Amino acid sequence: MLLSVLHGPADQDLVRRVQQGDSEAFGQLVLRYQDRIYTVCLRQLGDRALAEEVAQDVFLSAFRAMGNFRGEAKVSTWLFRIAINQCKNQKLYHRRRARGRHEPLEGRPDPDRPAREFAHPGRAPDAGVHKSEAERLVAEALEELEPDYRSIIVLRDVEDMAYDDIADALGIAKGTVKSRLHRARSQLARILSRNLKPEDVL
Amino acid sequence: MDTFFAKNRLSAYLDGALPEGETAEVSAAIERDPALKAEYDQLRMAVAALRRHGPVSAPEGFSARVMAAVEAEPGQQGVVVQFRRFFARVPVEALAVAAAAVLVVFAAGSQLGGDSPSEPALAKAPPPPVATDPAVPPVADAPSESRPAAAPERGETLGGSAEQPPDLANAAPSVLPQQASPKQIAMPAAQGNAYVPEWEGDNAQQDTSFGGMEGLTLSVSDPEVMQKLYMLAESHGGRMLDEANQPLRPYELSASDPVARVLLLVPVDRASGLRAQLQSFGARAGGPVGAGPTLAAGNSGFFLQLELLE
Repeated sequence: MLLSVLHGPADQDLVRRVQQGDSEAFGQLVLRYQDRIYTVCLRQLGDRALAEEVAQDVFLSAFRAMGNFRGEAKVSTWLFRIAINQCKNQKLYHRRRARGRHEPLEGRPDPDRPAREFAHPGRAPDAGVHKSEAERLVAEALEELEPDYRSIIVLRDVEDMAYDDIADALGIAKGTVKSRLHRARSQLARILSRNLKPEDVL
Repeated sequence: MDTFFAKNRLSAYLDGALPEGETAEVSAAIERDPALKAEYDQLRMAVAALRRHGPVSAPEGFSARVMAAVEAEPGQQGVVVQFRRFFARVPVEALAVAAAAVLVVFAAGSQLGGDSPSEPALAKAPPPPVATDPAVPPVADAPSESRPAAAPERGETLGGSAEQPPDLANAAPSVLPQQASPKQIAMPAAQGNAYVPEWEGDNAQQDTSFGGMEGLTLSVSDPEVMQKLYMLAESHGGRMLDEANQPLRPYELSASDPVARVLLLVPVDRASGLRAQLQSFGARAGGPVGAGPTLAAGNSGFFLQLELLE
C-alpha cells in the first residue's frame, strides 16, 4: 500500500488494467519507462532520430503483445527484451541497406555513418547532456563495442539491471552474463582510457 | 589467488557479486599487484562514466506520440474488449451446437472409458482450459451469461489441445523453446501483435478459420537463405516476420551469427505449396514452435529455424 502511494501502481497492476482495455494505464507505463527505453535504443543505435522511432515501436509492440504477457518476467525486463531485439533488427536492416540490397527507408538516417548525432546535437531535451565531452567519449566508446557487448553493458551499467534480469532479457545464462560483461567492460575501459582519466569521472 | 584468477573476477568484484571468500582474495590481489590495481581502476572508471553519462531523457512529447499511435491501433480498446466483442458476434446457436458437440464427444468418451476396467473414464476427460491465463480473459468477463463456456471450448476444438498458445512476448528470444504440437493453434485472445484478426472487418463473421503453425528446421550452406525465403514467401502471397511478429528484412547469416528464426506467414490456401517448396530445400520437421509468433485468422505459418552449416 505504502509503495503504491509512493511510486504509483505496480507494473503488473498497470498491465492487468491494459489487458482489461484501459489505455490510460498503458500511458502510465510509457511515462514510467520512456527514458530508460529511449536510452537503451539510443545507446544501441547511436542515432537519436532512429532511437526515438525504434523506442516508439518498442512501446507499440508491447501494447500489441500485452495480451500475451503473463507476468513470468518483470515488465521492465520484458520491455528491455523487446527494445534489444528491435534495435538488433534495425542494425541488421541498415547494415544490409548500406550494402545496397534493399529499398531506401525514407526519412531515416543511416546509423552506420561514422559521425554520430552525439557530435551534432539537434534536439532540445537531451541536447544539454551531449555538450559534455565525457559523454561524447562514452558514446563513441560504446559505438566501438560489438553489439552483444554494447547490449549487456548498457543494461548493466546504464540501466542498473541485475544479472538475473539481464540474463532473462538477453536470453542467455547468468554465467554468460558475467563473463560477457567482464569482457565488455574491459574492452570499454581500454577504449575510454585513451582519452579519459579516472579523475575525470571518479 | 593468482593474478589471472583475480583478473577474471574484477568485474564481478566491482558489482559485489562474488562469494565472500573470493571477494577477500580479489581485494588482497589488488592490493599487492599494481598492474591489477590499474586495471581495476580502469574498470571502475568505465563503469562510473557509463553511469554518469549513459542515461538520457526521452525527447519532449515522446509519450504523447506513443499514445497517439496507440490510439490509432485497431486493438486500442484492449484485447479483453476485443475478445468480448468477438463472442458477442458469434451466433448463440452456433455456440450451443458447439457446446452440445463437445458434450456428446465427452459423453461418448466417458462411456468408452467405462467399458474398460483398466482405463478409468476420467482419463479421457479433456485437459483443463486455460481460463486462468491472463492472456485469456476470465469466463466471467464475457458479456452474455449464455456464452461464457465458449472460450476454452474454442481453443480445444480448433487446436485439439488445451495447451497455452505460443507466447512470443514472454519468450526469451535466444533460448530454443520446447517442442510443441506442429499444428498448434493460437487462440484469438492471445493475438497480441500487429496481425491480430480484425474482428471489426467485413469478414468478421466468416473469418473463423485459423491455419496452423509448423515448426521447421533448415540447415543450409547458403548465407543468403533468408533473402530466398523472403522472396519465396512473397511469391506465395505471404511475408516474412521475425519471432516478435515484426517485418523482418533479410540479412546474411555468418559464422558469428549462424542461427536465425523466421516466420513465413501465408494465406491458408497457399500453405501446402510453400510447404512443398520448403521441403524441397531440405526443411525438416521440428522447429521453434512453442515460443513462436501467433497467427492471424486465415493464415498459416512456418516458423523456421535457419542454421548455417560450417
